[in-house]
Amino acid sequence: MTTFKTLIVGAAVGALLAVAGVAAAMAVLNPTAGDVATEMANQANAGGTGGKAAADPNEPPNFYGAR
Amino acid sequence: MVTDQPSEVERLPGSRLLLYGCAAAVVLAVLAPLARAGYVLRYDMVFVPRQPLSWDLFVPSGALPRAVPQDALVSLSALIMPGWLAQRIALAGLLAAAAIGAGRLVPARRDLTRVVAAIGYAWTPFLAERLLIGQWGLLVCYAAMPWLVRAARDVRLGRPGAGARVVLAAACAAITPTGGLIALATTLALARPPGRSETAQPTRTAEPTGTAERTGTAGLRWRGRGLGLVLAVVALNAPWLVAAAIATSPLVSDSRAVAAFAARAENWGGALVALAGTGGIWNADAVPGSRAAPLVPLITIGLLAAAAFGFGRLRQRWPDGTATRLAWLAGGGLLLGAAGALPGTSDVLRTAVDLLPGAGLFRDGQKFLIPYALGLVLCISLGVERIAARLPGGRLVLVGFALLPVVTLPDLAWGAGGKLRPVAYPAEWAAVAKTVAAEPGPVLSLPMSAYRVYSWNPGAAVYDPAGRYLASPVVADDRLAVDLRPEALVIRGESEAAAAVRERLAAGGPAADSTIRWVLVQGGNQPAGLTEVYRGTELTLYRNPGYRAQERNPSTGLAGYLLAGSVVAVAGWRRATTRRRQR
Repeated sequence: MTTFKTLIVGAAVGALLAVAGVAAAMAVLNPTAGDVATEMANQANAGGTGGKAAADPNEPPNFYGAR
Repeated sequence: MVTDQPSEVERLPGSRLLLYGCAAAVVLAVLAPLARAGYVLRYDMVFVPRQPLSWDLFVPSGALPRAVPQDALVSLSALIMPGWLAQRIALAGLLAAAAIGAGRLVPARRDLTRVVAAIGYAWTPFLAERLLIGQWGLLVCYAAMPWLVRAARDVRLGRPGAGARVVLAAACAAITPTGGLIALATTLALARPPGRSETAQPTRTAEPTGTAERTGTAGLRWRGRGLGLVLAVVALNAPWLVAAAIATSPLVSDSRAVAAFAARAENWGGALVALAGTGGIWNADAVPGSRAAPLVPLITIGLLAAAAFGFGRLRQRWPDGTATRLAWLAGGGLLLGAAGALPGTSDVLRTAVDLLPGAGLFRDGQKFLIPYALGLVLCISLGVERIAARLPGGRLVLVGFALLPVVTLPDLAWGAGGKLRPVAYPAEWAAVAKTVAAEPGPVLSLPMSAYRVYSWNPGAAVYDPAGRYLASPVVADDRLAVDLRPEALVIRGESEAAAAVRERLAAGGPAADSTIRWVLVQGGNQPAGLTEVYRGTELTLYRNPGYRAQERNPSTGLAGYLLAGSVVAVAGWRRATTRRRQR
């Protein structure tokens, strides 16, 4: 009986970890629409911290950070 | 395991090594990309091959001492090791110290509870976010916090050598002004003799305590020792306090930054839930993607419930009142973290930053979550231990909670999802540094910006490395532009020299006046009236023929270092003596 209960607890813990892990992985792999819009805006302006690909690759970024 | 243990401890085979194994696994998982050669350059994290021993890094004259004494320590480390090694030792050391410290601190009855605490504290959103914004000095304070709390509690228990351990842990924490303040608050809150009500609490554990109320002469001596410890930790803050006192720049900061640096929502849970989960940094670019997962607020609430369940156990196992004091300290840190984001308190904070010198330290209040993060992890660990004790297969529950931080924040692994990536400085940096070192004198770094993005360090803004690479004072823009979406905010800097350069450039005048010897141009156009002495593909160095040497004697700033160094030396000597006696 104890073994059975242990199995149930183990399965529950595993399932919860799996759900949390899948949700986190999806958040990492799938940027939100807001993130995509921001990235596009950064590229368009050559602003933001990662979007400097325009004329001078060493020109300072427009922003130190973004909220 | 080497801890102050309650009785009835469940030990695992090889338990002594378990904690150290966990710490090693965390270090490897997070810092594996740093096995490659080079320097991780990201936001505030700037390491260079050999950081010079220059006055301006010890006692900044034209700017607030935000990296004092951190920069001085890095410069001193360059005497014995290259910068790339110092960076790896600092990052690996802080991760390992955080994990081992938390694992040893938690008053657990099962070894797996220590693992929950170790991984839980070394894998928090706070650590990930501050690592991504490059504030490794603040993370040294984070890593020192469990050791400081443990030492402070030992002071309360009257254990020999505990006072020296408090000072040494606080010294590690105090390598930045914010860390110094957190260490001071922790010492004030915890390293004091227990009050009458605290000693009167029933002792339900087998842990021996030395907290009997001291009376008469013994009581006075006891209180005197507590006061001495507080004064010692104040002295550890002397380097930045003295540097600030003699700085020529104004000590009040731009209060508009309170809104820019306020805690930020990371998902539908809002800023307060983000803070409750130890996240909520202001900069969206420093937030791991997994923090946006819709389950994060629910997991945070679940963890808070587990922590509430564990707090009673913490009070029971620390019957000397340390648990309650730690809770107050943690609550204070949480309140400071939330202050900029709440309607009433943000106004108070703005007024304070406008009026009070040094209050700018509190603009980015999320930094003060460190005691909260530690208290939360300790309580969660004990709450989980309590839950595990009531369920069959309790070990599985503990293992599950030990893995939970990694599962919910997977993008801290592998250099925070590949964002902590070593790069090599182009050779022209060394050439420019050599030229400047041959004829030292103030350098103006152009174009005017505090931060750069380099083609050889893609994807991350970084503070201008010139200030640390060149063995001379560097005048650079110290304003910060923050994208508030849709509008932008430029936060005023404090450097009067940088302001003068901006004014000259805006008026169409020359970039350099007689106080500037060199002008370093990183990309951009050639300034007029200067002699080119070096041209590389990205860097061009010009000499200013109109330079007139200025007298500067910042040696008074060293008084703070002398005081703090003496305190550390005495504490180190006392610690060594106590250890020798204990053997």
